[in-house]
Amino acid sequence: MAAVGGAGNGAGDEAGGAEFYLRYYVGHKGKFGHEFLEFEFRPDGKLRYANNSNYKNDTMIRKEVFVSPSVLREARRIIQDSEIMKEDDSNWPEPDRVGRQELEIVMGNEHISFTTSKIGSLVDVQTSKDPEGLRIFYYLVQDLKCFVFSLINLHFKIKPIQL
Amino acid sequence: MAAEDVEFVDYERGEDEDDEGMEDEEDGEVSARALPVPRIAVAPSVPRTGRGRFVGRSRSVMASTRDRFDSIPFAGSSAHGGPQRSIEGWILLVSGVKEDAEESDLYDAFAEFGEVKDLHFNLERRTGYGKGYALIEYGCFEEAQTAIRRMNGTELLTKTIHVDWAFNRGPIQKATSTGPAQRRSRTPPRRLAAMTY
Repeated sequence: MAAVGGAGNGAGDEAGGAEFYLRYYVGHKGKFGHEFLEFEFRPDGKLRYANNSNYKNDTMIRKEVFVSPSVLREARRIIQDSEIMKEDDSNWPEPDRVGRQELEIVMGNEHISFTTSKIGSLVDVQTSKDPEGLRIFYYLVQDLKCFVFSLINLHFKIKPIQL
Repeated sequence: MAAEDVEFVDYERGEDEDDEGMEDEEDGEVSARALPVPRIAVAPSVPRTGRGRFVGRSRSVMASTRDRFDSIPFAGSSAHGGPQRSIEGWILLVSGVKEDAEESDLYDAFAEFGEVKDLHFNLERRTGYGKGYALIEYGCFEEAQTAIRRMNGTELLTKTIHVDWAFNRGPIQKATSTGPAQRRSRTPPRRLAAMTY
């Protein structure tokens, strides 16, 4: 039935190349062990999500689901609109004891693997050596988390643990 | 483009994990199967423009765990592909939503096809306007399917929206891809079959 396919017509048919991979990690190692949030979109549509907080409860949440080509396309659009692929992390704060963030994206023939410290607020962005670039990262990460949290929350009916 | 020939996600599992091969699963539960662990392997020779301090050193925490990821079993027929049911219903993605749309605009448009059980209209953090998409839950497959058929490609507040299922029952088939076939040629057929049944 044609309607089942909806707007989906393949994940790799847009400008920018066929390949797409996205991974985001935020976490730290402290007195409650390794606490982190990580998610990834794979080229075949598999969305994986892991969220571990040892505070109070000891359980790691691990979820995975295949998303449709339309969802992958929306993730790509959010990334493309942000223009993060033009940025560089060389002047961003180094990961430290407070924590680490990693953003890895493959789109077409571009591959970024950025890492930086946790960003508490826009003040951290503004006082950094690369406020323009870091601001793009800061907002993109929030928008991506928001997208993934909604997908996971709606599919599994669970709430993420905020780090 | 030569870069397209090189896959960057290696679906092969580590050799130490062969003791729980997927074909050994006897309960038949999709949610219980062991998952292949990806290794992000970008060969230095790949003419892909890599940038960032972490290039070549990235390592998914998830990749290092042998624990299983929860998923919702496919209901009904064994055929893969097609929409995947979620815990409480069927989720649609609406994309192309006008930035100054409001939640009520979406609700009003989609309540026509059945009870909208949940609706996420996320805002862009920088601007406070809509991020351009919404996720909508219906309790019934037929309601969701009707909403796709009737709303996909229509205009909402003068902007064309696209409406599609959010979740699939299996990996995206690359039939429509313009890229070279056999992207996963390094994955042994047995494993590929186990992943894509």
